[in-house]
Amino acid sequence: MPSKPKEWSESSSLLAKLRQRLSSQDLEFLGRLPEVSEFDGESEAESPDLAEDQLLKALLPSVLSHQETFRRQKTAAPELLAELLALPASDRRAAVAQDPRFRTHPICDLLQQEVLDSCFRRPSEAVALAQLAVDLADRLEPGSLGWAGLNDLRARSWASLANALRVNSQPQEAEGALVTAEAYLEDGTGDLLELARVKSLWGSLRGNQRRLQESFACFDQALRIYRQCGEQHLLGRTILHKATYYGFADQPEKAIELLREGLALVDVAREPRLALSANHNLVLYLTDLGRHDEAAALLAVSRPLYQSLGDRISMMRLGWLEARMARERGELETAERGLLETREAFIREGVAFDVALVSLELAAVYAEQHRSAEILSLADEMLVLTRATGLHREAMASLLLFRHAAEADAVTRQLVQATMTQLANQRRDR
Amino acid sequence: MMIILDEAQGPENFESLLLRVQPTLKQILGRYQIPAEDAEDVLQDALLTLLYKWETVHKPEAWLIGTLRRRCIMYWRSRRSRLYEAVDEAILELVAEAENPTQENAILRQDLERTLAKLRPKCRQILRLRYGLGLKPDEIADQMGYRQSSVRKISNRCLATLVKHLVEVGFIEDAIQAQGMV
Repeated sequence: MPSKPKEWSESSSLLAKLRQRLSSQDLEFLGRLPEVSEFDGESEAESPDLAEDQLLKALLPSVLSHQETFRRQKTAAPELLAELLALPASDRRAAVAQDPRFRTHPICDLLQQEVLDSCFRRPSEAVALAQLAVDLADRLEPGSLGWAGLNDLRARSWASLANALRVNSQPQEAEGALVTAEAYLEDGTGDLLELARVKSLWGSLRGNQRRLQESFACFDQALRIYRQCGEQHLLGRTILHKATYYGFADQPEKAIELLREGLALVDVAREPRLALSANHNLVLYLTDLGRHDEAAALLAVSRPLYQSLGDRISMMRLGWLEARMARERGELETAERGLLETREAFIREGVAFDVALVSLELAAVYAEQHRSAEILSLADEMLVLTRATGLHREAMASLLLFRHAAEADAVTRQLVQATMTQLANQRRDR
Repeated sequence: MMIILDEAQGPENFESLLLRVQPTLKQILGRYQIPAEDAEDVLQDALLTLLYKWETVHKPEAWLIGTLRRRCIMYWRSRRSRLYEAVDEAILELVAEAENPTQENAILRQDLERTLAKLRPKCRQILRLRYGLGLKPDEIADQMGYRQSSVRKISNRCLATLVKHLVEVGFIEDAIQAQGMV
């Protein structure tokens, strides 16, 4: 300890006053903190107070006594959740407030799974479902999991809300929800998987905000945790998400590398939709790079996955992908047929952005065939459709510029690609 | 200390896993110097969560060891934060008392300024705004152009530096002796 400089004499009023006001426990910890706070890991010291064989002797029966409660609640949860979700959306929060049967941890966890599914199938409903999960978590008592476990569950609920908000293009609100999730984790159990999930969601949010270096850094933090915990599927999943943003950054080679790496790790049976989406993007990037044989071979292997999931949107995207592959191979008639069918399907589905993107791809086919009248007709139809569906201002502006180019017979493949990129970025940036 | 289970044995059950890793858990709690009176609570939180999530955690040993380590770090982070708040409140009380222009209080203000002068310029500025002008964290954030979410972290780092300085000049040791703890 360095000798005290003259100014810190015993008569120093500041020091004397601090001594009076801090408790003995505070003082003891203050003295220890500098060595503890420099922890990057552990010290060599052993606590003399923990007898090895006694550590679990008292704890184990107490912990195991909760096993039956967990089993009973998990068994009852699916039916109770179905009952809750059968209610009109406007009645669900009141039901959670008034009926204690709905207030269990497993129901809240199952509800979050519904939120995740909804993000794929019915994005417009995902936020309301996620808010219900947050409300439910807020009303729960610690119960068998204790306050730390409850805080973890609250963190999960806020993280689910953040994801739903991100998918619905509300990035600022999503950021706020993730900050709240992190605050709950600080008072949680230290569950590494919860931390990794939040890091991964930050990665996706920052990616959508085109803050790509931050995005990749967040994903890398999640990846380190999943490797440490030996969670292969979650590791693969996160690699696939990271790949998406390399695609957005127009680095298809890197995206391809990560997609292959992630697909080798994920359990397809556990998340078939994730595997399908990753395979789809892989075929897309291979096609865009002119690696047609590889793309075709991969699509042939992936086709059963599209058929097994069987939903309309997946099949429409398959049709779109096949049409693009035909276009890249120079099979323009086949490409035109496929794109027209896909466009009609998206119009019926009311998915304005995808209608515009497919239309632009069709315009690229017409541009190669010098069919200026068809391009102008497409440009007019796009504007009518997008006005009717309320597509936002920036997208309208991009399409108006495209229409001007069509009128001037100045549409090129490069212009089509640039307009498609603008629309895709605008969809992510909303 | 990872042990690869023979697949033919089937999944290990919760209790046998815990009995097997008990020495490692004790080692972690010891190496992070978690006080005995808190160690059981820290460990219990992790065990209850593992039991709840047993079907979904694929490598429970790795999860438990990593989670317990993180929990130990969080334990100290939380205690540290509460302690810095106590130091902060103590200084604020002193400053409030020192509003009276007695000679003793003038000396007190000089002592505080002398303490702050030892710190880095950014910390000096923040703590002068806090103790000299009585600004709240959001007001300090506005004044210095920080985000409000950042200013608490920065303020805690500055308090940490202040505390470290107090330890280095022997304040803590003297205080403990004065309170008859040694």
